[in-house]
Amino acid sequence: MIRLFDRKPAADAATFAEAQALLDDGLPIDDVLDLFSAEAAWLEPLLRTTTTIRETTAAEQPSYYFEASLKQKFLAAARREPRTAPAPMLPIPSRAPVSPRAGLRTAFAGSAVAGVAAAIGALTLGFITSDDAVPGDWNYTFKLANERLEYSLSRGGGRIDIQLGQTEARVRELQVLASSGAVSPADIQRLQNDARELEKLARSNQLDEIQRGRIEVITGSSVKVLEGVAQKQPDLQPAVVTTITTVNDTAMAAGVGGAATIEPLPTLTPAPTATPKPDSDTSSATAGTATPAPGTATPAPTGTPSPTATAHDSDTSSTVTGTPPSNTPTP
Amino acid sequence: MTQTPVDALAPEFDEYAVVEAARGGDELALSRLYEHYFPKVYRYVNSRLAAAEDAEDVTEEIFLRVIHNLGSFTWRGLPFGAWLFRIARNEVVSHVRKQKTRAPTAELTEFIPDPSQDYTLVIEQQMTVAMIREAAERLPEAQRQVIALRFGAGLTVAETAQALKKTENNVKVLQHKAIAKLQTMVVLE
Repeated sequence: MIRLFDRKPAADAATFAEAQALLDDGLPIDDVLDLFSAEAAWLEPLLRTTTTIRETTAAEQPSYYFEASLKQKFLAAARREPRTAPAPMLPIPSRAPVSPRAGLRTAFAGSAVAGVAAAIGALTLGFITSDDAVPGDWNYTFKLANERLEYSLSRGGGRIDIQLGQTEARVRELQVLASSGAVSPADIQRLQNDARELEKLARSNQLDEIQRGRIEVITGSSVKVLEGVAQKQPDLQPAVVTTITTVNDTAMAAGVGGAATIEPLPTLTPAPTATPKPDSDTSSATAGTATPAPGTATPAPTGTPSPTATAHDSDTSSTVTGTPPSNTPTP
Repeated sequence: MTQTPVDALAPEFDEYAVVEAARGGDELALSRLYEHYFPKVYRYVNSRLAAAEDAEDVTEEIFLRVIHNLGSFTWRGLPFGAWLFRIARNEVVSHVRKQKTRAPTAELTEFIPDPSQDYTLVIEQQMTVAMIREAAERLPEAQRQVIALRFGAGLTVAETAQALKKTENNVKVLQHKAIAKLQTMVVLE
């Protein structure tokens, strides 16, 4: 009969090898044949042949004298041979005795690797978690570094957006710090620097509506936050005034100037002396509504109750607002 | 007594550790190496050579060559056993070549019957061995090598393949063909 689907010789060889491997592992021949019942007919004589070969070969044992004498020759020859240093990839050093110097080297290398890994981890963690950091936080430096990198890599309109974001971040930081009265001059200086940078960009670039809107919001919120800072920490008043000036300059450069005003600081208002005298009738009547002439910064002399009543710099007031001052002296 | 690295080894034969310790001159490791491989090597050589004296001579040559070359042995993805059996195979082949050039000599037997053993069984066994060896002599060299390593030295298919620099499939096919031929040549009772 012609076998259309005759097995390849390699398949028979694989089956035989598999059965022989089971036999090698100690399985009785009958059990192996049970496992290969379909092939048992042709497997059995082969497996019995190999069993016989193995048994007869194993029966031929070397003499004990030969084995022992060869061992002595083997060891003697080994003593004559120059010794070889173990391979560098030896996997047994943990079990082998280690010299103190090698132990120190291993410890040093291990700690160095651990240190580098910790540094990389801290850097990564710092950059990831630095978005909400405020001055004084451990990762605030990462935030500034990240901002610098972003700014350096940006160009054109993208740079304006980044600078806007950074200035907004400074305002938020001041707001957080101001709530606990922990603002430092350096914190205010940072806002001032960013506002100045923004002013430069506003002057040299054409801003779109969104960017102008953001500047307007920054200006308004900056003034509000800075006034709060000055109320809580009067010693920061000079820095506050200068920064508000800078913020307003930025607003002016962006074409949204005039929105920000400087509220009089309570600590700076000398209440008793600011009260106008009843006999200075015209001055007191016009003081609250005094409108400075366009381009003139100084309010009408009659609007000022007395020279000592105005605590803030009149120049600053004029350059910032250009609008009617809202700092009405208290009656 | 000082503890050597080999003393601390697991009871199983850790080839890498033992070989490395032996290369460093550790006598205990050298002993373990010898004890582990001697039976396999001897059976392999004995299955290839007719005379027991020849098998002893060649086995001795193999182990002396191993110790001489142990320093130059490097791990290249192959077990030490594969390297050792390549040396063994070369020595056997070299011995067979030398033997063919010599004039055939009458074989002297040193067999002394032991009265405590069943003499008939021993004779039968010797006859079987002689018959198998004679049949194996008629096999092609590649098949004889495989049979000697697989059933003489007791190596696995993978170890045999490594020792002979062949693929495992190749060894399986050679093994199958050799045993199929031996089966027809040797009449087993």
